[in-house]
Amino acid sequence: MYRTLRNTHLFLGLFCCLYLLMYGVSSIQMAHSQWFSARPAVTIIHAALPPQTTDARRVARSLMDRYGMRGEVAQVRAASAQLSFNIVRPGTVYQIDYSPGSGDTRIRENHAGFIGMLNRIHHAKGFWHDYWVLNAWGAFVAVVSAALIVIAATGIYLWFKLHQERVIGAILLAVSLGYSLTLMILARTAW
Amino acid sequence: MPWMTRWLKKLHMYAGLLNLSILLVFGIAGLNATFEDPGEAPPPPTTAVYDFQVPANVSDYEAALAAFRFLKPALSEPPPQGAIHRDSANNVAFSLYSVNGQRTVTLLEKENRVRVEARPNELGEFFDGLHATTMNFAHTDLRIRMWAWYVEFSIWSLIFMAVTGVYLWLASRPGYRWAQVSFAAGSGLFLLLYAITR
Repeated sequence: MYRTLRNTHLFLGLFCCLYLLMYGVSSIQMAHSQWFSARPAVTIIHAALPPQTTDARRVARSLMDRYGMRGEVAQVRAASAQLSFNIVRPGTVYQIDYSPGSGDTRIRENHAGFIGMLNRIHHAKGFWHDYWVLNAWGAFVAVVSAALIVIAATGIYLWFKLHQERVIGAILLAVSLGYSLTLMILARTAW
Repeated sequence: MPWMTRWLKKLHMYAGLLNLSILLVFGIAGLNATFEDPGEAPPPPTTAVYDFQVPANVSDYEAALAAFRFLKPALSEPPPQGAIHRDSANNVAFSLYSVNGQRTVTLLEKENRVRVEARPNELGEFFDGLHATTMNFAHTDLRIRMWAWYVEFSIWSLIFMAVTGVYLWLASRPGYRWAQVSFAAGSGLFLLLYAITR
């Protein structure tokens, strides 16, 4: 039992190591945004597409085929004179303004740096996306979240088996649970 | 350096014990985010109306702040100026957010009343809100401020535990084949996906 749980703790921890570091570093960026510059690099280009297209998805398809853009279509805003939408993947947003009358297309590419990229990966979730890469990140969110719970539970077991650490460990655990559970209950019941 | 390994093992374990509940919160928040349905319509809000008179000769922002002070909504911060708007009926309105959910406040000035539409969070959303409560905002509520301190501590602890975990493996059983496979598989998939996403 001990050996199995120790190995489970080790394997899951090692498998999730880079994901946990990604979550940790991006959380520092979000908690202390003034420490970092997460401003993306912006490039604006113009393209000529066939006119008279009124479907944002068809315009997006053309741009993906011609310019190799990757991501999912989001925030579609259709008006008579202009069709606007985004093509989004973590760290990169293409803001598209297409004029159906002329086919003129303005593409504003926002490309995040390393820390901005980590921030966007941190926010990737779910399996409902059109773009498979986002679903893949969503799958890892599920795996790492479940692993985190197992790592925490096995960690408690491993600590409890170390007899010389029981007293100080019990004190730390009591302080931690007392502080956090009290705050959680106080917050949950304040509505 | 056996003394360093011994101390890092202790600190790794102590950090884990001090962060037990928040690691569970992170895990639950991640699972909740994974399985939430973005297309699902939110439940209808509960509505309450109170007598409230907007003070004379104030701006929309000051009127909103007066309503906020009157309502004293728990855990919420006063609305920033940019969050104040006029709705389709030309009433001053603003939304308030907390880990427990969202309130939309509308000042019904003609009736000398204020309407509050509340959408409480379910438990999973509550944990999601807790996990995102960082020190990026100056929380005025002591409970939320103390929770943000705990989140701050946990962020640094998470990084510390991830790094020391790898160190403890390398210091104790670096040749363990399944550990190597786990590390290589997890890191390889992460880097591959990062490169594809980039």
